[in-house]
Amino acid sequence: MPSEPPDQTAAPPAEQLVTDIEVSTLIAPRKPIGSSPDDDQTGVRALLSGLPEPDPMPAYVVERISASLAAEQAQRAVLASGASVSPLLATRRRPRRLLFSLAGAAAAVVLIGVLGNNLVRDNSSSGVTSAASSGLASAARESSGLAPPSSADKAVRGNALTAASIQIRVSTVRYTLATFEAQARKLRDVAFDSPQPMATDTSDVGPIGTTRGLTSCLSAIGAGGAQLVQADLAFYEGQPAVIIVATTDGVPTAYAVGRGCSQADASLLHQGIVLP
Amino acid sequence: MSRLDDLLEMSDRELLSAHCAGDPDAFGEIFRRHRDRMWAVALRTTRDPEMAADAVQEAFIAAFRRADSFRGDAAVTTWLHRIVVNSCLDRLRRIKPVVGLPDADHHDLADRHDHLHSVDVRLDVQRALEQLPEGQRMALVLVDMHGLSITEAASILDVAEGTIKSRCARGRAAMVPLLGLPAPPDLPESHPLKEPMAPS
Repeated sequence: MPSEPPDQTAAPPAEQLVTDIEVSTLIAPRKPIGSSPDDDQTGVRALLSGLPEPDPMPAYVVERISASLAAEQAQRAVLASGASVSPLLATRRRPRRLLFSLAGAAAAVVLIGVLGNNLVRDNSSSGVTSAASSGLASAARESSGLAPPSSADKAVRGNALTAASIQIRVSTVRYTLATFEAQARKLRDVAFDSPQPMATDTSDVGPIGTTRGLTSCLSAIGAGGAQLVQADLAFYEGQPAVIIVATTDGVPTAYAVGRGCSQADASLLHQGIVLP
Repeated sequence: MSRLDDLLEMSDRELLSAHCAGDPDAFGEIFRRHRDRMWAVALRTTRDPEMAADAVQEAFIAAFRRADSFRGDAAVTTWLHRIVVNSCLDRLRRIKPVVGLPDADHHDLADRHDHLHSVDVRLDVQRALEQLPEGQRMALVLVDMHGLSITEAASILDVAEGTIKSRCARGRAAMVPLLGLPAPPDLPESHPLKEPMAPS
């Protein structure tokens, strides 16, 4: 039904109404609503676009995601080498504790530090990959047997552990004094363990999450000669800690240290105990 | 040229291709370049920093794993946006139902036209956005707040461009009374402010 014309002094004949509508349509064709930003007459678009941008991604989120991506990369590298692996870090829907296992029956494989030092801490717009991340790539190549380690890789790893296996993971396991031995045994046997939820805050990780940092810590606690090292970035007695199972000549010893453990300061939270 | 320089020189597509080819550092550069942007989208979508952190983490892990599913028909950023937005919406839908338009009389959002950059304005706008249906809210977040094109927003939300335009118009119209803004004059009869309110 045609709309009424503004001037209603006399009703026009129906044919003229139809003609008027057709002409007006030709003169002013209908324009889709919101076809361009300039179509907004409400002022809402200007209001919304004028709001300040949120702050950059918080450091703890950067670290957390960096750790996840490093874990994914490590898993990808191990899978590419043909080794068996359990995932290290939890996925969102089915939280699991993941561990990178060593490649086959080979004597010694150096695996990747899950948390690259600069990669974790870098919030600047310029840096991207760090020595640890390059170490990630180098270790991946090494574990797949593609290329021998470079001098940079050896520098990253340090001199103490020249032919060692290092496994680092992040978890939300809460180790306690009372149950430390049992929990540490579980860490030692973690390749066969059930999944665990992922750590939700990795802001305190620091250098201990890197191969170099862990090596430095091992020297401080007297485990620098270990041939196999399993480290869990978790919690001890409610505080962020690193649980280390260092196996020397077939004897596993478990320690709990603070996240700041280094050659200068062991930050020992739990004395080493030999695991049966 | 160092490895870092190489990465900085690469486009997003080149980085993604390199990642698919096994480059261990390429995806880290993608993350570095776009993390702040994705964080902003997640935060504005979820309104909850912890949920946003979970969503963005899941999104980047999913992107890492499914990089070979990127078909190249859109920008890498559009692809990332889509993954992040879907991750956010999944979480939101699990915890609360879709919110319809409330009666305008029930909201006491004062006119802040004179204080556009104040914290109060931001909170009012955020509260008003939360009142919108999900489709309208997401359209405004992507188009008006993040400056994405209609085409990009349509690709991210996997709807037609006309749907985005309609949602934008209806969302903005819905925000007017919620924010206490004056209705603009000379609106065409077809404008949503001249129609009865209805969810998109």
